[in-house]
Amino acid sequence: METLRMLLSGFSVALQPANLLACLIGVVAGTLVGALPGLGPSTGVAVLLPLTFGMNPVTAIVMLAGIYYGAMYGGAIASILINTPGDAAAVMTCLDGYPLAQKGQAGAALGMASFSSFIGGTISVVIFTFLAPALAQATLWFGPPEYFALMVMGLSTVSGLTGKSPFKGIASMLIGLALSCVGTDLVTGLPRFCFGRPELYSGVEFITVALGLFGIAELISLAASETPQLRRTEVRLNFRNLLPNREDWAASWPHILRGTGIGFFIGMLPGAGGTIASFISYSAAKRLSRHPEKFGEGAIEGVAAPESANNAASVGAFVPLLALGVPGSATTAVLMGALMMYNLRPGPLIFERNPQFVWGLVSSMYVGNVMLMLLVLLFIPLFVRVLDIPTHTLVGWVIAFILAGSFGLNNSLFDAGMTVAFGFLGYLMKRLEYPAAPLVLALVLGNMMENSLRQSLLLSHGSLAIFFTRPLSLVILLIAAAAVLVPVVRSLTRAKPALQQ
Amino acid sequence: MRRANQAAALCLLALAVYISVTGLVMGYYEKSAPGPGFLPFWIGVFLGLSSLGILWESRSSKDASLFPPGAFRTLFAITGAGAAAIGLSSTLGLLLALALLAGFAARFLGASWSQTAVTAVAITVTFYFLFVRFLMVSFPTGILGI
Repeated sequence: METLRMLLSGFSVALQPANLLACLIGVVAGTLVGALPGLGPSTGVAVLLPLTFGMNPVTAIVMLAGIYYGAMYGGAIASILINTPGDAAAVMTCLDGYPLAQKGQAGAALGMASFSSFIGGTISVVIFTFLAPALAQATLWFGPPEYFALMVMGLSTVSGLTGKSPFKGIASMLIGLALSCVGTDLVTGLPRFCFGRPELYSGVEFITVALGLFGIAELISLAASETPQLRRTEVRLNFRNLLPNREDWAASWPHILRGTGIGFFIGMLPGAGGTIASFISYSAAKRLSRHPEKFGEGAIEGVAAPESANNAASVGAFVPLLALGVPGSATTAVLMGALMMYNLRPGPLIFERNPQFVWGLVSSMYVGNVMLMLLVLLFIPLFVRVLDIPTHTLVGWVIAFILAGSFGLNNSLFDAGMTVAFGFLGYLMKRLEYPAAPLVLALVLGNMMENSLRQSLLLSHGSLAIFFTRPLSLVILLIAAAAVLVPVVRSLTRAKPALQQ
Repeated sequence: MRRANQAAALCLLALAVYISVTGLVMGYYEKSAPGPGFLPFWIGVFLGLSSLGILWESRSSKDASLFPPGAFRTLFAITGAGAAAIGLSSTLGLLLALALLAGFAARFLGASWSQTAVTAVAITVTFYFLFVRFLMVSFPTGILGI
């Protein structure tokens, strides 16, 4: 009852004209950015973050959340029309979306993607509404050792599960942690890794890094690709042919509901997220379908299953972010950085200290999902036009926007220069298959993790036993160790036979 | 790929040694609490171990190029232009420098001169209204006063 009362008060925040407008702008901008091949939600949120400068925190986060789920849907547009996913989570949508477009059913595929995203997103927000406050309540008694363990788990699962090589994921995470050490040490006041630059005394701004690693690196990748300009399938789109027919619904609804469950659960797990959720949901749909042979040839349920899962995952990812203060993906790490920029510290206490913010955000997710579906149904012909923008124009505009945004953060040319440098590094990392997500996540969590570690060791007079004698922290650390060791051992044993061959 | 992986792993190893040694210099432990160098020291140790793991893995990787043709040219052109724009912004003003950067990127990637000019002018106008007037970001101005 208390939850419903808070939710209603949240709607009074979300329905304020400024917040509605922010949500609308976020959803539209997110869908447009998400539709651009290669530019996924994390890039979208990072690149569009400067648009929120000067806004009040609630309005800013409502807009950023809108960008997030708008971009999650936008990925489907490129998947269906040009067979190139807007982001990794939309890869599975290509498998049946593009064949449907080639058969002249692009409208039905885009429409089903929109409806299944809406259903997946909305059911997930309902689950989130009741689950997140309960989880936050249960974790209120967490002390520094549990928090430290939780952050270690977040980082280790993301590094162990992201990318092809666990060692590269771990190295990326450690570089992020090292970057989080840059700046004045809060306890002793000693400058660490500042190289005499006063700009570094306050630390490395995570947005500066995220703009480079996600924004500039993706642009270079797009510009340097062998087919920078992709041709989209010519389609006639109007409101009528976007509506799936009765057979489409009959074939899809069980997969939408299952995909929602899978997506929400996987979305909550650090490191997994929309990509794995959509993969599992698609595989389950194919395995349980009466016509598995149709999958890959243009089955409408092959679009519904991954799309419901990846939108549900985007909502699920908010659970650890808001309830525990530990983001589980690159996009939620960027969102967490944005929250901290606005002096909002996610975690169990945020439900008590900033109820207006939390419930305003939750309510805006309901509003945003409805808005996204209506916008897509009404304006999809305009959204697909974004795929016709020439790469040269797109790269010119976005790179200038990124540098303006990076400068605007602290009015610092040094920050803008850092963004360029991280863009350079990000491109090399991308080509060498070092995932960027663990680096950004570690940079965001690094300071909090170090503080929890120091507080824990102060409590125990320097004994590491504090982490292993408290049951919850022990269990979390064991999960963290397994998340790193299993992929590492598998990778080492895989490398050995390959060598012998 | 093997060479690139090995070179990257060796760079990481060198970075790991630097971080660990600097961590020790900064102070590993102070009284009964970890010092400012405690975490950096362990970051360096684990980074070193990871780089050894990457070296081990790279022994079985194929020796194919990871970079598409012309990738380095694009990489250096775009990041170089970005760095130049930042360097020039105190003379030209950030607005003009960003317009030149966008124009250069567009032209470099195959835009015609007219498309390049349109991009540069449109960016100047849009960014002026969006960042300077609407978001109130105070861009450095240059010799032209903008």
